[in-house]
Amino acid sequence: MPLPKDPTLIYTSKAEVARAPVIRSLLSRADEPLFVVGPRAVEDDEWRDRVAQLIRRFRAGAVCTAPYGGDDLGRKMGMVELATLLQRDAPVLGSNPDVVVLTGSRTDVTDRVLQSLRHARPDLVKISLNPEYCPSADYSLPTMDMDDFLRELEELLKA
Amino acid sequence: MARFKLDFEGIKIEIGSVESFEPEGEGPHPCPSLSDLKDWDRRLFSRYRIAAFPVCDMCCLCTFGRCNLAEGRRGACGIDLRANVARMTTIKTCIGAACHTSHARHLIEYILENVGDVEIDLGPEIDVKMPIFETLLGFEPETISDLEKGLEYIERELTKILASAHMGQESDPHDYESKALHAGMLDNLALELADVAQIVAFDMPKGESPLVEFGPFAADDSKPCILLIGHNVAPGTEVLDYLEERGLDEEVEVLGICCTAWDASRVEKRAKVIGPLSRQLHYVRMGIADVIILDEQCVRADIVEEAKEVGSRVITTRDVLMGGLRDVTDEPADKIVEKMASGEWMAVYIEDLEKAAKVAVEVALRVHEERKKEVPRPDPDEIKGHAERCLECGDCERVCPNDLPIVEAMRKAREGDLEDLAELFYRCVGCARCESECPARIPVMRIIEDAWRLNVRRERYKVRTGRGPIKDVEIRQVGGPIVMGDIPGVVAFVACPNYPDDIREIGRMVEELLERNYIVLTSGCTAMALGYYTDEEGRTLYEKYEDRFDAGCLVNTGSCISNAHILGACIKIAAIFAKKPLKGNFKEIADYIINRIGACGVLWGAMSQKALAISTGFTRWGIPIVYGPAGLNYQTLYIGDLDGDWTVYDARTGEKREEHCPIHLKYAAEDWREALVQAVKLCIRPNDTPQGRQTKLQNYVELYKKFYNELPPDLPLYVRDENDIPLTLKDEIMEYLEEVGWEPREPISEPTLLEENARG
Ligand code: SF4
Ligand code: SF4
Ligand code: SF4
Repeated sequence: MPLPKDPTLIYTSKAEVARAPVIRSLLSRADEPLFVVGPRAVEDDEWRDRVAQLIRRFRAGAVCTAPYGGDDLGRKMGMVELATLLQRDAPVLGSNPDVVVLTGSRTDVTDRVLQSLRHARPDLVKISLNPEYCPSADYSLPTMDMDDFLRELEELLKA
Repeated sequence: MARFKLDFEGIKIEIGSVESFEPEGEGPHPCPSLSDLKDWDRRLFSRYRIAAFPVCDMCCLCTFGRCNLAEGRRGACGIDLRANVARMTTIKTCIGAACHTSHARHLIEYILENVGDVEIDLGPEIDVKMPIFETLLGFEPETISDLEKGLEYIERELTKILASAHMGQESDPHDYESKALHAGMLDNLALELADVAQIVAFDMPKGESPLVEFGPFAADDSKPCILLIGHNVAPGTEVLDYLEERGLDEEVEVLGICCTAWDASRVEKRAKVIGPLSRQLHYVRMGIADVIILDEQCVRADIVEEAKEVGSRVITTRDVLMGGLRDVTDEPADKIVEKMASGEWMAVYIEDLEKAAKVAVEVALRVHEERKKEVPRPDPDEIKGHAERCLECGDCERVCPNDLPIVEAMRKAREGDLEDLAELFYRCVGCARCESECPARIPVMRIIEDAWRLNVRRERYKVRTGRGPIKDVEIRQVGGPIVMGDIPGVVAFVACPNYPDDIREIGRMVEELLERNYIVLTSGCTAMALGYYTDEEGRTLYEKYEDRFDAGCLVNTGSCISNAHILGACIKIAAIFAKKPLKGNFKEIADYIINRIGACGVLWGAMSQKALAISTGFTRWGIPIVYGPAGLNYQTLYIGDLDGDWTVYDARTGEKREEHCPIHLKYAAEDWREALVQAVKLCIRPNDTPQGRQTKLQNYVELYKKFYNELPPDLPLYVRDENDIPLTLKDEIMEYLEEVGWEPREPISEPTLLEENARG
């Protein structure tokens, strides 16, 4: 895109639209991936089930930010508590993640948290795994309907 | 300058009450300036990290810009993003504080002119009348004119804070955030000035409040209706007076939306509260009002146009909200009535409130019969027709702040099933963004409301109107149990209705806490939202729980400005129960609150800059805040940092100990259950007795287990020794604590953060 004539570079970066193969490769190459699972994923059986599988598949750490009775979505912690740790590169669950995947939080919360990390932690790879495009991530799925989104998660699970 | 005052019969001599502003009170810091309290703020920030959640990467405050501050860049003036985010928090907090201050100034000047220099008397049961004023100004005000000293102090400090936001001034995020705290504290004083002034001048309730009718169907629309929208009760009092003078009390309905509704109902019980801010557009479009009087704050910018659509006449009354309307203040009232009744003037600005009231009443009487015929009624076929035009593009959902499933509801409505559409009403915040965005020009919000109207029973609910202050006798009774922790906490549900989901979630949180013996306080639009939460017999929590400042009771203090009494109650505990001197003694009082009074504020739907100012002020006094998810858009939160300095001194021995409570000072929760658990946790204080800590932990653990099905992982922070563990949970908790290597520690007997207060 040609840049407009302006004394300052005013256009901040936007997330690269990524589909399952790209996200799979990012997660496969990560040393310490971390899944952050929000209420929408917890409350939707199919979404939740696929995320639980993804956590196992990529041997990822996981934090569940939503009220949830199960124990397959990782340690429970409030989103802002987690975001504060990530912002200052403090250990989460005993390790320092290099890739973070947000899935199932409200769209506004996802955007705010990822935007804060974009400034505080440019080194951290930030992925939005939601049915809506999130501009503040480094990589985000495009906006799609729920059926397509679930299929995309299936795709991500493939070897 | 110390003030010297003598009163003889009929003669009053006053020396020292000079025109220009001079701090004149007693105590260590009367009228504290920015730098006087900076060390207290730094103490707070040594344990609470300022977590920034920027909304915008840009700054466009000066013509050097726009500057891109993203990812480590600096602006042309050298500022970085963290400092700029804190600067925006400061500016927004100033806007909020300025609103309450200008509101207070208008009320005080109006009262001095129209009612007189009334004595500040809150009745025989209230001696500590203005605890915030006394703590900050260092003296007790006696009459309304004394309150002007408070205004002058605020105006001096607010001007300085705003000046600090100019380019090339403050540069450090902590110093900016400290200024936001200062602005918030000033805001809290403005609340008290405004509310106490109106209580004494308009004879509002002083510590007890009646049940009043609530909801849009509380209005008797067979009568002419005047609808008040906003926050400043002065125009409403003039309307009520005019009706009484003319013997028209029974002929005309006076209704209110937002805080002016609470305050009008505090002046006259028959003024009806019809709904919170989120219902503003809905109810205006329902065409209930013959005349709408706008005063100030949180009024939608499109109300004049919307009112015109349903034939409602509009009068704006305050110079902060003139609405671009013709100023007819100097025209004769009869002429204005004539022109408005004929429809030649549909909306006008009248600054003279007496005239505005007369015009409103006379116009309402004249236009009512004709207008009634024009008021639109919901029509299921029309809703279906709109739904048939839906393209299912989803643009409405994309812009909806609550991601409401509008497309699915449209699909069903097309088939004639309006239930989903009607249900959306309880989750809709009334922003109308869906309508602005819809390419098919479907009035989305309107048909949600119409579907609801077709489905809902014409119910009237009972709510308790604002009672103002907490009485000294109540403080005497509960001060001890609160400070010891036997009453597990005081939780205030306050502020705006920008709820992330069903408006009735507020009711769920409040009911759970009441069942658990918390003292629950409420105010503003949130106190109205509680009115929608009913049991099977249609009873609201106001009908089920007593109006006392006591365990398991529910108190509505009133409007936004009545939040002063929530903070005031905490200060009064320090003054009455602990006999702490208030005058000019901010730091010691805040230190007392943060260490001993298990209070917490929940602003589940916080939206306005005023809500930011109120809550930011509360945090400086040591009262933690939990916002809903929209709180992230305020851009800075104060989150406990376990690597920070959690030193608490024992004032008696000088010993140092670490106590991690309250663990956060400004938090945002994504889900109401998370907010509830946090609120309960944030009521834990270093001063809790073992018995008190047991009660608090019992609530925390039970709720955490209920929602998360496990023990809270941070229990070791709160269990000092085995005596703190609730008996019924002892085995389970001990097993967990042993597993994580917990070590017991001694509770602290007189906790303080102020090293200078530790005797040793
Ligand atoms: S105030 Fe500073 S950052 Fe903002 S536009 Fe001006 S130079 Fe840029
Ligand atoms: S008016 Fe209601 S439905 Fe429409 S965008 Fe706003 S919250 Fe969503
Ligand atoms: S924006 Fe309008 S057309 Fe598009 S889905 Fe919503 S209601 Fe239908």
